[in-house]
Order: sequence, then C-alpha cells, then structure tokens
Amino acid sequence: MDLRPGEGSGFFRAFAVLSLTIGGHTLLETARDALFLARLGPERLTLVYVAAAAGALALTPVATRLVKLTGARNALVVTLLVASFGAAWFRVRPPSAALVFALYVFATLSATILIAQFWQLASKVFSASQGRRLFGPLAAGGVLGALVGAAVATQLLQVTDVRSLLSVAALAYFAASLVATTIESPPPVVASVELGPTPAPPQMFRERFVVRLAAMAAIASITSVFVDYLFKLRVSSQMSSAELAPFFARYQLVMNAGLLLLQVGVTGRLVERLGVLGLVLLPPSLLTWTGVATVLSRGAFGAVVALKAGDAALRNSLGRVGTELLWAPVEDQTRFRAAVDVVATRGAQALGGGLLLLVLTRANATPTALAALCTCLSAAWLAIGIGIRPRYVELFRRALGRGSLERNLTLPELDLNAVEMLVESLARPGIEEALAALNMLAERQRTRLIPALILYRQEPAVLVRALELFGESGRRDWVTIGERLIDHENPDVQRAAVRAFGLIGDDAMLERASRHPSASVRAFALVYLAERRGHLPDGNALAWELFRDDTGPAHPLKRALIQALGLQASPEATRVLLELGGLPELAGDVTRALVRTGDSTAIPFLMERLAVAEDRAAARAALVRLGEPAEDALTKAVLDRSLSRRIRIHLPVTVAGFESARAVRSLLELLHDSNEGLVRYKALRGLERIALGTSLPISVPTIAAEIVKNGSEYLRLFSLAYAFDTAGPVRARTEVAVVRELLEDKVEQSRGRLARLLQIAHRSDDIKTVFSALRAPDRVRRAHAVEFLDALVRSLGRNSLEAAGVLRLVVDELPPAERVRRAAGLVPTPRDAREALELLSEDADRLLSELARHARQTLGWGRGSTPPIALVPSELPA
Amino acid sequence: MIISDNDRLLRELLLRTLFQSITGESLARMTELLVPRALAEGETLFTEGEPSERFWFVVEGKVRLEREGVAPWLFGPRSVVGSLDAFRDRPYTRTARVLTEAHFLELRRSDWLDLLDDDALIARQTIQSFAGRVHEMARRVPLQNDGELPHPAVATPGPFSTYQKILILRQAQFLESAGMQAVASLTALASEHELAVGQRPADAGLRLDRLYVIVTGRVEVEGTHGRERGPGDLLGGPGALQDPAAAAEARALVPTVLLGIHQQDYYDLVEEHPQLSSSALRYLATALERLVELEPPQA
Repeated sequence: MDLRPGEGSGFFRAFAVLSLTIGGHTLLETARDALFLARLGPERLTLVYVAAAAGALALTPVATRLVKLTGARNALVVTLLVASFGAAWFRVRPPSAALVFALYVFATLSATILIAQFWQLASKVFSASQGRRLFGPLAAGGVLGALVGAAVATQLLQVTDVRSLLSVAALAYFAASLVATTIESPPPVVASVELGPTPAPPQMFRERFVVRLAAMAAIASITSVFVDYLFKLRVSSQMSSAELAPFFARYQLVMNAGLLLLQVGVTGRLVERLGVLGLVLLPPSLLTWTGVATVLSRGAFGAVVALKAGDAALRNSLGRVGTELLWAPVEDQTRFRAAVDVVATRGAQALGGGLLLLVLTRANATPTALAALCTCLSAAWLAIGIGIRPRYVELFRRALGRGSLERNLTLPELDLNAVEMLVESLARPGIEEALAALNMLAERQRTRLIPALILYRQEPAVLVRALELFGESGRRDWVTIGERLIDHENPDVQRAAVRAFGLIGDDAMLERASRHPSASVRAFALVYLAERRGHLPDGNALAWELFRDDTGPAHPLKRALIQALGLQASPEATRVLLELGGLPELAGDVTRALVRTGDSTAIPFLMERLAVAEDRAAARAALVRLGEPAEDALTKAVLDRSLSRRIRIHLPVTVAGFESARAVRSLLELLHDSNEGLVRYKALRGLERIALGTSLPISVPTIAAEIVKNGSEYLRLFSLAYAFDTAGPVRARTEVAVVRELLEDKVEQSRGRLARLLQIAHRSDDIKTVFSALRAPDRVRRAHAVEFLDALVRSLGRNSLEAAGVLRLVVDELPPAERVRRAAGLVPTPRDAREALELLSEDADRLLSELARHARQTLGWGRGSTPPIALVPSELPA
Repeated sequence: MIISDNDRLLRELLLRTLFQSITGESLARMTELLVPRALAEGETLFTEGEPSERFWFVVEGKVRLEREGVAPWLFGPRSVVGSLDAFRDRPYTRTARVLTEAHFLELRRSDWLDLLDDDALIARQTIQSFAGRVHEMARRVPLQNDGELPHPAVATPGPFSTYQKILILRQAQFLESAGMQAVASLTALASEHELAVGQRPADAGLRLDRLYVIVTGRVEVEGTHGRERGPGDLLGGPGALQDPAAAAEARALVPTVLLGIHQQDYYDLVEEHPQLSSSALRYLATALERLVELEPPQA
C-alpha cells in the first residue's frame, strides 16, 4: 500500500470506522435476511424494497442537511449512534411480522446512509490523488469488517439465536462512532442560514456528468433489486427456515473472504492500470457476463449465488472506489450527491421494487427470466458508463479553473465605430499612435479608408508609411497632395513619394521626378521608369550602369528596385532579385520582396535566409507561397546533416508552415529519428503549431510512443539528479554542482516536452496551465491536475496504457526517493553519486558525458584520474 | 473572458503604439491577456512589498512610484510600471499612486513570460528594445564604477575546456539566472578571443556580430563616463544585447580575454531555453534601475 508520511493516522482511523460499521451491518443484515425470509417469505420482498426506498427518499435530505450543518464527521458519528440505538431497540422487541418488516427497512436505510456518509467524509479527508491510492485499501477495511462480522455471526449462531446478532451489531456501531470522533475533518463549509437547497432536478440535469452518474446509479440500484430478489427466491426455495441464518452467515463469510482477496490483491493495481473510468466499468461488465452464465444455466442455484455475490462484492469494492473517484472533480459534491441519492438511487430502488412487483404479478417470472432481466440491466449500466469519459475530463477542466483552450488568435474586424476610432488616431499628435493606426488599417485591407489629408502631417516616418500604403493600394486620390512631397526636405520622404508614383504607374510624375534638382530623386525616378517599361539592362544587376552612383551600405536605388520588383512581378524579377541579394546588406530586402514574387529558383536563397532572425519570418512566408517545390526541398533538407546548423534548426518550424499531411509526416519522422536534441525539439514545436492551428490529423500512436520515451527520459534524468541529492559534501563541489544543475535543467526540459506532446494529442486543452497546476500551492488543485492528465492520456487509444503509467510516475505527487524507487523498473537508477557519474560519463549527450568524466577525474573516482584543472579560486561556490 | 472587438482594437492600438513590430499571433495573444483597469486620482495601483505578479501599461493619466527617502518616479501615457520588479522577480520596491485619473492595461508576469517562451521573436524584440533603452541612458547618465571588479571564474590562459567555458559563462551577468542547460548549450558555440592593452575589437580583428563576455581583464567603454567593465560583463555593456556593435566602443585597459557567442546563436537558443530571455531581462532591469535612480523618470 502506498501510504505516505502524514497520511497514516487519518487512514487507519478511517479504516477502523469502516471496518466496524460494515462489520455491524453484516451482523444486522444476516439477522434481517434470516428473520424476514423465515417470517414473511420472499414474496414480501418487493414491498420492503419500495418501503426502504421511500424511507431513503425521506431521510436522505435530512442526512444531507446534517452533513452541511455539522460537517461530514459529526454527521457520521450521529448516524452511527442512532444506528446503534436502533439495533439495540430491535433486539429487545419481540419479533412480530411488522417488526421484522421494519427491521429490514431499518437495516437497509442505516447501511445506505452510513456508507454514503463515510465516503463523503473520506473524500473530504483525502484528495483525488490520495483517494486513487488509498480508497482501495480503505475499502478493504470494509471488506475486513464484513468478513469479521460474518465470522462472528457464524460462531454466534452455533451457540445462540439469530436476534443476538443485533446486540453485537449495536456494539459495533457504537465503537465505530467512538473512533470516528478522532478523525480530523474539515469544518462545515456554510453556516445554517446560508444553506443552499438541494439542487432541483432541472438544475442537476444541466450537469451532464452528474446526469450520467445518476443514470448509472439508478440502473445499478434497479439491477441490485432484481439480483437480490432472485437470490433470496432461490435461497428460500432451497433452504428450510432453520437453515437460513447459518446459510446467510456462511454466505457472507465466503463472499467477504473472496472480496477481501480481491480488494487487497487486485483493486489497487486495477486502479493504476485501468484508471478511474475503467474501474467504474468493471462491475457492470462482469455482472453482464455472470448474468449471461446464469441464463445459460437456467438459473442454477450456484450461478445465482455467484451473481448475487458478484453484485454485492463488486459494487462495494471496485465499484465503490471507482464511483468515489468519479465524484472527485464535482464542485458542490455534497449537494449533487444528495440529489443523486434522493432522485436516482432511492427513486430507482422504489422503481425497481415496483417493476419487480409488476413483473411478478403479470408474468411467470422464472429464475431464468429474472436472470435475463438482470443481464439486460447490467448491459444498460455498462452502455451508459462507456460515454462518461468526455464529461469526466470536462469536469476536471472546469475544476482547474480553465475552460478548454478557446483561442481567438484572429484580429478583430473593423466596424464603423472602430474605423472612426482609428481614423481619429491618425490625426493625433503621437507618431507611434498614427503609425499603429495606419498599420492596423493596412493589415485589414482598409487602406482606402486612410484619408489623403494625412500627407499634410509633418513627421517623415508617418509620411513615408502613408506613401508606402498609398503606392501599394493603387489609389490615386492622394496624388494632388502627394506631388509636393517630391520636393519635401527629407530625402526619405522624397524617395517614398517617387516610389509611390512608380507603384501606381504615374509615368508623368516619374518623368517630372527624373528632371528633379536632387540627384537621388532623379535616380529613383529612372529606376522606376526602367522597371515599368521593362527596360532593365542585361547582365548582373550589381554591375548595371543604373547603379553606378549607388554606392555605400544604404544602396537606396537598389533597394527601390527591389521593392518595385517585389510588388510588380516580371519574368526577370527572381533573377534580378537574387543577383541583388548577393550583397549581404540587401539580402533582407530581397527576402521581403520574395514574399510576393519569385519562383522556385529562389528556394536555396530563401533557405539560407532562415538562419537570419530578422529575415526568418519573411523567408518562411516566401517558401510557403512557393508551395510544393519548396516543401520538397525542405523535407529533403531536414535530413541533410551537411547543411549549416543555423539553417537546419529552423527547418522543422518552416516545414510546419506548409500545414500539410506531408509536413506532419516529415516532422513526426524527425521527432522520432533525429539524433539532434534541438532539431527534435523544433520538430515538436512545429507539430504543436500544426496541432493548434489546423485540424490536420497527427498520428496518436506516435505521440503516445513519444510520451513514453520522453517520460522515461524524465525518470532517467530525475533518478540521476536524485543520486546527487544524497551525496553529502561532494554535492557542493563545483564540478559536481555543474553536472547536477545540468541534470535538473534537463529534467525540467523533458517535463516541458511532455507538456507539448500532450498539447499535440489534446489540442483543445490548455495543457500548459494544467502542468502549472501540478505545482499549485493548493493540494486539491494539484490532485485535479494529476487526474485530468491521467484521464487525457488514457483516451489515446490502444497505446495509452503504457503512456499513462509513465506519465503518472512523472506527474504524481511522490517523494523523490519513492519516484526513483518506482522508476527502477523502467530506467537505470544509480545508487549514489559515484554510480551516477559513472553512468553519465557514458551518456549519449556529449556535453553531459564530458562534464561527468571531468567530475570523476577531479574527485579521483575515475580510472586513470588526472589532476584537477587549475581554477581561481580553486573552489567556486556551487 | 469574452472581450468585445472594440476593446480588443483599443488594446491592439496601444500595443502597436508601444511595440512597433508586434504582429500576428503574438499581438492577438497579447490583446487577449491584457486586462483594462481604471483608477481615480489618489488610488494605489500597487504597494511596496506586495509580490510583483503584474505590471501595467499606462494608457492615460499619470502615476507616481514612491518610496520613503528617495526621489519619486513619474510615469505618463505609453509607459510601463511595475516591470522592473516583475522582471527581477522580487516584491514591489515602491508604491504606485495615481496622480490623475488613469487607465491601464494590466498584464500578469506569468502570462508575459509564457508569451516570451512561445514567441522567440517577441522575446528578442523585447530584449533588444530594453537593451537599447539601457544603452541610451547609460550614455547620458554618469554612473560610477562599482568599486572592485569581480574575480575571474577561470584565470588560466586558454584554450578553455568545456567545463571552464561553463564556469566563465555562469559568471556572465546576463546569464545569471539562465540555468545550466542554456549556459552549457552556449558553451558549445562560444569561441575565445583576446584584446591587448589599448586595443579595440576592430584592432584585434574581432567581428561585431558577436556578444563578447569578458573572461579576464578590464575594459573602458567610450561615451559611458569612464565606466569600466570586467569579468562577467558584456563587452560594450547591456547595449550589446541590442546591437553587438556597441562593443566597438570598448578599449582594453589591461590584456583582456573574451568568450564570443554569435548573436544569432544566442537568440536561436532563446527559443529553446526561455530562461535565457528572462535572465537577460532581469539583467537589463537591474542595469536600468541603477540608471533611473540617478535620473528619475519625470513623465
């Protein structure tokens, strides 16, 4: 059992309370069944089911109110005392038919309320993650109590009559109440005056998850009523009155012994292996199969007993643990559970009783027919349970305080008000604001709304940007105001004006500018005229006569031509642009021009520009525009190790820009096969970008396999780093500290990669936030995050089991030593720092192995150690 | 939270006004993350000692950052308040009081760091514009030397082993909180250089597309009021993060050993190791704070 420091006291007290409570109930139940069947016969069972359900309908709200008013622990103590008194009362009264009937109702009601209150208390004392570990063993306490209760009943019945069991039951309940007072429980959440009402059914039905839970609880209850009746029918037809009590005691003994084995040996592992949802589906699955076997055996006594034992055992062990864990993410659990208890469970019991009565009065209900009905009900229970996963995940999502990742990464469109606001901004004095407004209008293709009057502003930056936009828009309403700007005092504005006239094809203005007093303006005009008339000279563009005077790093004329060619594609454009791009200072301008024009001959140039941060976005856009030939070239290049590292590391994200199935395949291959960490990381980023920006399918098995690989790497690095935590004074040595810190960073890095992989697998969830919640100060929030991730990973299909196991080990709240101990089966776990350094010195990571070898040598731990490198000061602080 | 299109446009306009080059997805994400806030005259935006989980863009109005015994800092529209503490990950060191009715856009520090983590371009632009501001102020404000320069991490002459390079880069102030993995990755890309007494980088044939970390020795940076830089400093000071050519103004006062990292490599690694950007911002915030203490902002 995985019991952690600080949990022991609470757990064992809860264990004792449940053992005593169920022990008492087993004694009570044995007496109840024997007395009822002996005195009233099975035909009255239908009435008692209905009566018990009606009683529960009346009492559950009272019990719920009690929990809210006094807290879960105190409510349980009160109910245990009442149950104790009730059992003692039935012991001292003569067993009339009415009293036996009332005893049956009392035993059923007390068990129902006590068990519900106990688990409510447990879910308050333990978080969802603790519950996953501890609810299984805790439920074993109930089974142990039932086993002891059954054993006591068997022994007592050999020396005394069945009613004496009631006295022992009363004592057990009383003892349970005493132990329960020692459990530390959170106080009640609200004062009595603030108590909210139990949610009305319509409100409850809005919670789809709760509706499913309610439906499952209802069908489980109806199934149980039918199974119980079938069982008692067969028992009463098979046994004499005197044999009933010893039979029920033995049945309880054997059934609970089997259940204890199941609980201790299987439940914990099943929770880890199947997850909460798998666990919840197990009881209806097994009941369905047992039901089929009972039908096929025509209701044989053994098969019926197995069916009843299966129902009782599974519902109170695996089913109970699963249901408790399912409730974990439900906010305002107490109210909703009360509603489910009242509306679903008790209502369904009453309905089950009524249905049974109907079946018995209208048809010849043979054991085979009843078994068939039980089978159908179990199958329906299973069918409803199968659809619960998405709602369960949704609930955790909500509990973590973040809805699904609603991305609105598009910029809003402009309505009339917005346009008005932006146009007003154009008139404001601030240059930055005017430029921002110009850019916002331009990006939304609303350049035509920019008033030509903006050209009356004084600031060169604003004028240049406005002229750029007017030129590219093809508008002509600004020409009259713009003409004067050719004579502006600022050369940048002059050139921008010539460029704008060139772009709108105003040859007359270009001619005028070609006679301008400024040599720069004249040259600009000539360049645009030549470009417009298609009279570009032959030969290498860098050697053209046109550019004879265009010297110095600015190259204004060449830049003007590059801009013009970028906007007005011509057959010669790519050749000329690439020739001009041969000059390093023009390469950026050429890259930006190639975003709009150019053919596949530009691909090698554009790939080289990926290495330059300032040009990367433009180069990517240009490559994506070129389509298939560029994608071909890039997917080949990602595997080309001879390519410069600076280019290679940017290829995966560039490939992602194509947003195609081929890009996905290529990135998955890289992620799987590349032996360069940074390239794999970039492939991961590229896939994440595709996952978040498109609906292209990404192979789930590959991602699940990567989760296993990265999770295992996390555990390997974690185990290595942990070896240094317990290394004593050596830990502080700089040589060791460097290795340790590097390992710790790598641990974080692999955790981050796991988050990205999960993000790819679950595009609509904000996985980053969930991972942040794993480190939240709030224990409940942390536990919700763990469960949420577990549920997400388990939905990855066939490959999910291994991935869930590894991920659980990574994200679960475990003391470091325990995480390392558990990781031992998956990855090498060094015993100490010395062994860790030995392992690391052979690590595939060249840097890590070099540093580990150095540390071993300096510490004298390696073979053929050399003297330490001289450092000043010799021991730097870690 | 659903934000109306008009609100988003207002935020976009402000963001574009503050960051000329912000575009696309980063811009859209920022507009989603910003929360508008309005305060009346006399109200407090944050108090000294509170955890610095947020910082604010001033849209309208004036704010005074005050602390007992020191000159107040005044901020007006289009400035950012609270960021120095947030970048240094420490509680607010001043109380921010609104002087005239003010409108802010609030950003959580963690959201901002997430954005830098996801968008290397924004990270780069932020570092560069911040570094540019520090550089420009360093040229204007006469900041005294810190006294004795730190001891070098490695005093032996090169060539350096990987381990030694790690020790050297670990001492670099702009990498102080970058984490060992980031430092180790930079180590693999770092090369050794030397400056003789009186030499400038150009004299030693050093290319000015690299960030040079001083390993041993001492340099003086022209135009920064005789300020000297030593082991762990960037040649050229914080401004080198904006433009490595800032190192051109440095002159070796004693024989000086340097480790050079191509600027492109540094910013490429920012994408993989986001701590590099938070560490650089922390370094720049420290440098800027020392400068603004001498020349308090006056709105």
